[in-house]
Amino acid sequence: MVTYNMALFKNKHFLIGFSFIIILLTSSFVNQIIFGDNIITEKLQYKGGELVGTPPFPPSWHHPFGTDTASQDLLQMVIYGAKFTIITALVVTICRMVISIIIGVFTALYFPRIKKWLTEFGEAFHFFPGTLLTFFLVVSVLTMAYGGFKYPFMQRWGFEVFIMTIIALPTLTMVISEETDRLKSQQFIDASRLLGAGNLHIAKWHISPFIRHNLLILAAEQFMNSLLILAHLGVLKVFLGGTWIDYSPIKQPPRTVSMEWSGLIGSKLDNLLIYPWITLTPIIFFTLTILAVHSMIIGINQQDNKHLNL
Amino acid sequence: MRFMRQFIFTFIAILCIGASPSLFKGINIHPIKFLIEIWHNLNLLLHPNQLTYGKETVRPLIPDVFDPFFYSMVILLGGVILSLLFSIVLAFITFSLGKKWADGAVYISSYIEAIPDIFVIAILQLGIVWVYKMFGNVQVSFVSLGTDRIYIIPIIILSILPSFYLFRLEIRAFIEENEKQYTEFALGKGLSKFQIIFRHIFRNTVGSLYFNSKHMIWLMLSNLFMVEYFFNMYGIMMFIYQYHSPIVLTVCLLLIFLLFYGILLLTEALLKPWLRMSGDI
Repeated sequence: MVTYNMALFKNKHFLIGFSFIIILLTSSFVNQIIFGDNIITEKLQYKGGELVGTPPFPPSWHHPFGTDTASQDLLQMVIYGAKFTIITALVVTICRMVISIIIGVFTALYFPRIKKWLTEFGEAFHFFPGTLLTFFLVVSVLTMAYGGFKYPFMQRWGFEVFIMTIIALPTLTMVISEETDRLKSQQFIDASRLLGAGNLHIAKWHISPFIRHNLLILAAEQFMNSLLILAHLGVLKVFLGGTWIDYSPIKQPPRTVSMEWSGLIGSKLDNLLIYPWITLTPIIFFTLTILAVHSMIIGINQQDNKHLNL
Repeated sequence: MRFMRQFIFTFIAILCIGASPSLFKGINIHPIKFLIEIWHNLNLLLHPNQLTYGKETVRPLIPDVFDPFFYSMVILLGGVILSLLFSIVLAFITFSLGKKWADGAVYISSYIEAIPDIFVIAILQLGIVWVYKMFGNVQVSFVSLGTDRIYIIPIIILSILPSFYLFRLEIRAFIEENEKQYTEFALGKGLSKFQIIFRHIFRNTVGSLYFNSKHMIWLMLSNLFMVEYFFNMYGIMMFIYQYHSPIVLTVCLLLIFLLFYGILLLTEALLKPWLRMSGDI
């Protein structure tokens, strides 16, 4: 199994997707070490003593993705925020997968009847967008009330991760228990049962090697889904870890407490038609990350087919 | 019997989703309040004419909710039909070009399918404005203002991502069917390729489309929300977003569920001979 997993890194698609995310994360941490919390800003551009530009600057060699209205470099902001977004999506994915594997596999093996009920219960979640549900559950905790946040940052973040985890559980558990059920009815499992194997033995030795690949793909899909929900929440002005709201008469637009991507999208959404690059930069990075994960899925699938053909 | 039980379980799930905002107060869980809310909602649902929405000005929910609901559903079903048409035409063209083209097209469309909806919406909104600037005047309005409603642009946007999803499914099913013996037999008998696609292969792929329709509905509903938000449309999603009391949530969810459940049952009844033929039922 180990050698098989290492073979995944020889696959072109998987490698491209994987290295994109790793490079993004590494540069985010390196940026943190070099610049700390500072973002390169450039107030006004002069050429021979004459004023040639005022912020926001459009994309150029100096600023590959341009700058925002406060003249902060957008590429650096996106890189700065990458770590929060990607790590949160990863944590959500891991939580979702671990919980739903435990529930899914064991209900399919031990309680087939409950599995049927669960499936029908989970059906309802097909008729409602997850973003909207997440929004209702987290908005009161994450939006700053008059006079400051009610809860410290880590509690707000943990709560958001918790909510994003539970809203996916019904559907995900359904998929995993369905998959287990499909394997359970295979002939070799019947043979193993006849030889006296218990449910635990079957789960460990007969289900897990076959389901492992599908689980990897499911995990990648969950990662994409959590990123998408984060982006949607950003559009709805609910930012990762909290939305800072200006209650003073100046009424600045809502701001993210860190520079994570959903906040970058949400706080700059109004610029879309005037300074498109400001809004598009975080959206493009969201898209690229999601496509990178998709590329990884294609890689896993190709490897899987090769493995089966052998 | 099967439908009845499924309906009851889904109904319970909808009640739970509807009451879920009252499950948390701050970051603390209040299960008792949640159960009370479910009971409360159930009681309210027994008298549908007395349901209300809104915080400052309380208004009757029942006639008011239908207006945004039907608007959204017209957009949604329009999107479904357009994406079906678009994907089928595209699939026929690529399939008749040969296997190499079909493989390439599946590969590319799987990437397009993964693109997040907000990217598509943002790019298209920019594109429309660009066209507007170039030609001075366009006949389709792209943002809802006041009471007038937009149909064409949202339907097109909504249909883009699902089309590629459907396209991939169709091509995959086409290829699968094409390798079966009856196709070879038909070719041997001298039927043309198009005749085979239209008369046999297409009929047999309907089953696979039907069984994936739930995922597509889910995909389109979450796209619909973003489309309504970006284009400032007063549809059902924005209605829920604005007046998100538990009862509004429950009623809107029930409406969406009932409509799609009805449509799914109807298609299943209509397509029964075809579905049985593809061996999935």
